[in-house]
Amino acid sequence: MQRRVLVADDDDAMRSTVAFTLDDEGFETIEAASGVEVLRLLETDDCCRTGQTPFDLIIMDIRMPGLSGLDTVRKLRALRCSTPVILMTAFPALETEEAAEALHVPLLAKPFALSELTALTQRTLASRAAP
Amino acid sequence: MPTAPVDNAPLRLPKMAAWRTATIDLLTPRQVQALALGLLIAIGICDYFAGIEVAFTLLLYLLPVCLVTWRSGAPIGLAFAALATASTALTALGFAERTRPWLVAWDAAGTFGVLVTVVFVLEKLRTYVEGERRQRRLAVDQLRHADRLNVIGKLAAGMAHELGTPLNVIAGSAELLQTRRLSSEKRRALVDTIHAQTKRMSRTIRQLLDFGRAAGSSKAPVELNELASVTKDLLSPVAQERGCSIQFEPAQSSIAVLANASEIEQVLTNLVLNGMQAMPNGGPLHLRTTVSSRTTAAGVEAPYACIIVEDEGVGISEEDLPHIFDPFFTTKDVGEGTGLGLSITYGIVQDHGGFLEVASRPHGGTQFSVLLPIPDPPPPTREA
Repeated sequence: MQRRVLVADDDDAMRSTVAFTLDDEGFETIEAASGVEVLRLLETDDCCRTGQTPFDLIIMDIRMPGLSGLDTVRKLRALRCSTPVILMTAFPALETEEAAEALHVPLLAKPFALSELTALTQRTLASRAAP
Repeated sequence: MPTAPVDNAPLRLPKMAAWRTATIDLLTPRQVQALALGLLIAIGICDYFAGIEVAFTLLLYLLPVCLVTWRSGAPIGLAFAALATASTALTALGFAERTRPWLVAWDAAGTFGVLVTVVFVLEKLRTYVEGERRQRRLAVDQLRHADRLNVIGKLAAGMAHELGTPLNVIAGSAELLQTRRLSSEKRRALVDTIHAQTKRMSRTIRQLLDFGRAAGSSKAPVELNELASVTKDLLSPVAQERGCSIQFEPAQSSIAVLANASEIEQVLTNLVLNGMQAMPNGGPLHLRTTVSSRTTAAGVEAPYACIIVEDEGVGISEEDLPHIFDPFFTTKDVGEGTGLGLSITYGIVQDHGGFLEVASRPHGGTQFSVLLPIPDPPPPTREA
C-alpha cells in the first residue's frame, strides 16, 4: 500500500523539492503551506478523535509564520494525534533540539542530502510499524 | 499605546551595580539626621558643663574624626583622635592645664590624627570611586557584549534560515538532476528553481550588506515634503493594487535636513510597504511630515524633522514590538519579506543621527515616526 506523507513548509521551493523526492521514492505526498493548514487537514478528517489518521508521516519545517512546527506538533499531541513527525530546521539550536527530543520527534537539519531525507523517512515509518 | 525603545533610551545597569553606586555617598539621609541631633545634644551638654569654647573644640575634633573613622575604619586616625579628645576632656574637666607639654603633645597628636584620617579616608574614597567606575564600565561592557552576542545569535539564526533553505533546495534539485531519470520538462523546472533560489540568496546577501553597511554615506540638503511626495507618487500604483490609498499631508512650511535622499526614500518605501502589508483588506495609509521637538542625548530640547507613516492595519503585539527592528524578525507571510526591511530602516535613520518611534496596538494600527535632526541654520535647498 502506498504510504501517505504530509509535507508542510511555508517555502514553496523547499516543499516541492521534498515532495518531489518522496514522490519519486514511491510515496504519495500531500502539501501544506503552514502549521495551521496541517491542523485543518487533520481536524477536518476528525482523525485525531477516531485514531484513523489519513497520513503515515508528517514532515514539517519548524520556522513557519503563524504556528511553528514545534507548536503544531504540540497541538497535534494535545489532540491525541499520534502520527509520526519529522521536523526540518535550518538552525538546530540547543533549545530546539531539546524541544524536539521532549516531543520524541527527529530533527532533520538543513541543508540535508536527499538520501538523508529518504533514509530518515524510511526509518521513522519502520519504527512506527514495529510493534 | 505601547512604544518601542528608541536608540537613545538609557542603558539599565544591573541592580547590584546600582546599589554599590549609592553607597559612594558617605551617609544616608537618616544617618545625617541622627548625627546632627546627637551633635546638638553633645554641644548643649558641653556648653552647660564646660562652656561654649570647649564645646566647639570638641565639635572641631569629634565631628570629622567620628565621621571619617566610623565610615573608613581608619584605626590610626581613631587612636590619635581619642588622644586629642581625652586631652580636651581633661582640660575641660580641670584635671590639667593646657600649658603642660604632654598635653600640648597630645593636642598635636590629635590634630595629626585628624589629618591622617582625612588623608586615609580621601584615599580610600578615591580608590572606592575608581573601583565603582571600573565596575560600572565592566557592567556596561558586559551588557553590550551580551547584546552583541544576542544580535549575532539572531543574525546567525536568520541567516541559517534565509540561506540554508534555498541552499537545500539548490542542492536537492542538483541531486535530483544528477541521480534521477526525469522528463525534460521536469529538468527545466529544476534548473529554473536553482536559478530562482540563487537569485534569492544573492538578494538576501545584498540586504545583509545594506544592513551592515558603513556609516557616513554622502549627505546633501533634502526637502522632506518633496521627498515624501515623490515617494507617495511612486508607491501609489502598488497601493491601489492592494486596495490601499496613501493620504499625504505635507507640513505647511518646507522642512530641510541633511540627508542621503535615496536612503531616506528607502526608509519611507519600507515603512509605507510595511503599512500596506499590515492592511490585508486595504485601507487608508497616512503619510505626514511635520516638525516636532524631542530631548536630545545631551538632554536639551531640539526640533526634529518628523515623517509619520500610519496604517490602520493589524497592529503589532506587545511581545513582538521590542523585536521589530531585529534582523530577520518577521511576522509576515512568506514572500512578504525577509525581516530585514525594518532593520535596514533603523540603520539608515541612525546613520543620519536620527531615531525611530513606533506606537502600535493589536488591531488598532501602527504609527512609525522617523525623526531626523534639523541642522542649525537649516541647509539651503533647491526650489521645489
